[in-house]
Amino acid sequence: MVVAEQIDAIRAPYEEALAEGRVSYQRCADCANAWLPPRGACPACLGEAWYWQRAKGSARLISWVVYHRAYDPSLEDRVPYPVLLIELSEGPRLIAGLEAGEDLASLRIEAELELRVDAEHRRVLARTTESNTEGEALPKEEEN
Amino acid sequence: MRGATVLAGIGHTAYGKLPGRDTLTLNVEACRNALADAGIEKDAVDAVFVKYPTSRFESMYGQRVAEALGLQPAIGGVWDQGGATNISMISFAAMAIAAGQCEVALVTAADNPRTGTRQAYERAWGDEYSRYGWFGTPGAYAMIARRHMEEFGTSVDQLGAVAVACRANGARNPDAHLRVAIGLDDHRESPLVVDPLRRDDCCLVSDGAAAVVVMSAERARSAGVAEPVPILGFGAGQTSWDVPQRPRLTESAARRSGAKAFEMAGLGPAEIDVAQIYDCFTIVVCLTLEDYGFCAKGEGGPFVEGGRIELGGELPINTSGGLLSETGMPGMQLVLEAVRQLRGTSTSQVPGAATCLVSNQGGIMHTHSTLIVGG
Repeated sequence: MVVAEQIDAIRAPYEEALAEGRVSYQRCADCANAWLPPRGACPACLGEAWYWQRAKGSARLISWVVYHRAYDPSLEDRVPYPVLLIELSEGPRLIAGLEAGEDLASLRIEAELELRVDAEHRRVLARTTESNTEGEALPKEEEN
Repeated sequence: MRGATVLAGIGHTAYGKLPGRDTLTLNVEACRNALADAGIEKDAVDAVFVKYPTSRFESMYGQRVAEALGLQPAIGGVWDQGGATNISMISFAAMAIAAGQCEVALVTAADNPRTGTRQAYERAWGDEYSRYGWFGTPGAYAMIARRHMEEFGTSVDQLGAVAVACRANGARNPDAHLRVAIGLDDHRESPLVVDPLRRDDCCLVSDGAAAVVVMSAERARSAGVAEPVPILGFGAGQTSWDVPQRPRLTESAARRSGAKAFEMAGLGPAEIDVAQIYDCFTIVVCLTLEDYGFCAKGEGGPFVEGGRIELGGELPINTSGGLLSETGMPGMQLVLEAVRQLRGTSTSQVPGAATCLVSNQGGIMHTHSTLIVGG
């Protein structure tokens, strides 16, 4: 129980921010490393002097999938549905959803994304921005 | 260490649906068969290493298996690395034998997700991700597959080529769970599970067990083991638990693991006659072959085309059918098939095979281990 309560306490500010429509992440005061998912110590320098920062709401697309099978009864009326893996412009990576009405066929890795929070469901939703055009030089994933 | 220890015996149960048999009984049957194959009495065993059932984790499971075997081992237990556990434990057994901590080790794995629970493969990846529907093992591998396909142009038919090769080998193996060969069109038309992965990209879900006996080459000689297969090299590697935190989705811990195993064996990819590549999903074969250096990064797709990985090709793989066709068991069956290739007893035998490489990996490519055996 102690462990579960500790994890909840660490994640609570992240969840509260989502409920208020903001995406947040942790930043280390000592080494400036930024990360998600929430944890109690900086995975770079192992220090505990971290604080929450608000993400500015831009990201890029690392990868995505489309579920055709419902792994939980609650998902049966959602299939087929996409799940995105995104990287905030500040660095941390997370799983996100796609805004309704976005064209799956237009998704490309490294696409620039704009984020919005569905506060009611505490979900981060992404849509591609118009500045993203096919054929532009794509940065390599590992260069970040 | 090169050649100091051997795989002295192999054993397994039937693969497929085995209702009414618990994993302890399955482990005992596989160990009984492995000991008989080695010609070693049970009482000689002083180490028992166990891959826990992925679908139902139990505390102190290694001690429960040792007790079911009627053994009081000096050393052993469970190492929690998913499918990489098998080769990791064979490696640990070899090191423990070399360090004089034990002499004869049983390494065994059993699970019954087919007739028991398979919840472990279908759950959400953490509370904060379940709201997105980010569930189950196939979705996580699909995320890796998409990145590989987008970044390098890997095609649906190239993934299909892996399935075609493994299913052809499985069809020749009378012990295989699924003995139905397929063509590229069958693969292409199989239903999407999590796009871009189709049903025929995904491994089987099977009940069963498999085990090996590990001992020193010297002990195997003195004990009169009939067909010992020398362990030439092994290695391991690990990366982040959370798939989104992976530094690069298209590169796996196989790179570090394979380099270490090749270095220990004094061999390179060109000297491998046959390989058993962990194929929980077709994309994993492409990534692993790249990371091992059989081809450059990104060229795993073209590499597996045109029959190169089929029997008779340049690098035949998964000659008993792999996870896609022999049994969905996470990895030990591949070690058993390496032993058969070196003994010349495979149902898809590579003529004159003198070296075989085996890859094991666990979770969503979190853990990796590599084994090279040869005469």
